[in-house]
Amino acid sequence: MSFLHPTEGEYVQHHLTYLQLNLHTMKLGNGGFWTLNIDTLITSVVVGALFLFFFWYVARRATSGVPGRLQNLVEAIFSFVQSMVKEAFHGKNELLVPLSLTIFMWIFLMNFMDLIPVDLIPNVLYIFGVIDFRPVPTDDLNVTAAIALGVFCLIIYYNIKVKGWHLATEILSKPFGWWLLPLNVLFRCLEEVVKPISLALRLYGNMFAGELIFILIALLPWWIQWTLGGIWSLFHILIITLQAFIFMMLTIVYMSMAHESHD
Amino acid sequence: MNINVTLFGELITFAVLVLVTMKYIWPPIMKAMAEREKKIVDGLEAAERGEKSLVLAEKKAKKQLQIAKGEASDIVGQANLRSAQVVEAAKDKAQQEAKKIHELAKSDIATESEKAKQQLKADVANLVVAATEKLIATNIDVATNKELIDKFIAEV
Repeated sequence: MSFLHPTEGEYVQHHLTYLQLNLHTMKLGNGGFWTLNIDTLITSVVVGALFLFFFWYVARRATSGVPGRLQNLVEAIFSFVQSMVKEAFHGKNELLVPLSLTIFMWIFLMNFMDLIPVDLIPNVLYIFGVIDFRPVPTDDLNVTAAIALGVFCLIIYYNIKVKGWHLATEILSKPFGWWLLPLNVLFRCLEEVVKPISLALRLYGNMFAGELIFILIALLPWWIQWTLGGIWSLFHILIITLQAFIFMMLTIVYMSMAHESHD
Repeated sequence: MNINVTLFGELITFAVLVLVTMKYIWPPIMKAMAEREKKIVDGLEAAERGEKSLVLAEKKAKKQLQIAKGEASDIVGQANLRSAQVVEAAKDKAQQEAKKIHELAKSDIATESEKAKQQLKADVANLVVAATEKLIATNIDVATNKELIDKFIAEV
């Protein structure tokens, strides 16, 4: 429990409140749809910039000779992503590998914010007058939905680009044949819509639950926190990596489905 | 769950991240990796080629060594033959020389002994005359005696 928030309810509430900007009044507070979650935006952009800077720094001095430690690390991540794409995707696409890499690294780093002690960033910012701050961007549905929506748009785009008119026949006649045309269309729509929703909710749900458990652990007496906290932290290292990997892998699979006909 | 405008902010962020990765990060690292792969493949090929040429060179060297060995043994054989010939020739020459010297010595000895014989004959005659003179004193005719003695000596 924090010295700033004496009761359990207030403490949990504090950790579940975004730092929001109401775009109607341009003041802090919730303004319905026209609200910016400043904390989410800042953290995700900072983390994304870190990712870009680190990789750009390595890419700028990449050598085909003996690679240094940093280049080794980056190349290991590269070949990991590349092998994943090669395994699941058999078409030709210049975008997919960088896309998968970005998704994996960005989500991983945003998830990683969850491993920073729950009170550290909010309390430090509180000293500077920021009342609420949620430091884990993937703990905000807006982020996960944004990435999922991006992937969804790409799926639609490549479906049309690769299949052309064949896409129409595919939607109308698969999987039940021409006689059940309406059912085919309904099924296809469902199938496509479920993809981004499941992507977004899976990541959000995992990270929200993870963060919530850290908050609850923080409510325990200080001398017992390390037991559950330690176990959950170890477990969470696995979860954040796994969730980033799953998001990337599903993106690759969906993109592969967009490139290949069902027949 | 509250979806708000943040969604679009994040969408833009996502797009920027993907574009920057695709334009500025992916290509150079990919290039470096592909180049290294090529280098390694080339290196392996070169190593294989080197190994092959080494085997070839070893074979060649062995062959040459064998040829050289054969030549050497030929040369040694010839040398042996030649030396035997030389020795034989020298032996012949030495024998001839020895024979020659022997002959020469033989003839020398013959003349010397003849000479000595003559000398001896003369000396003996004189000695006998002198001795006889002393023995028989004066009254003997010297001329007759000399004749007798010479006769005797010739018979010797």
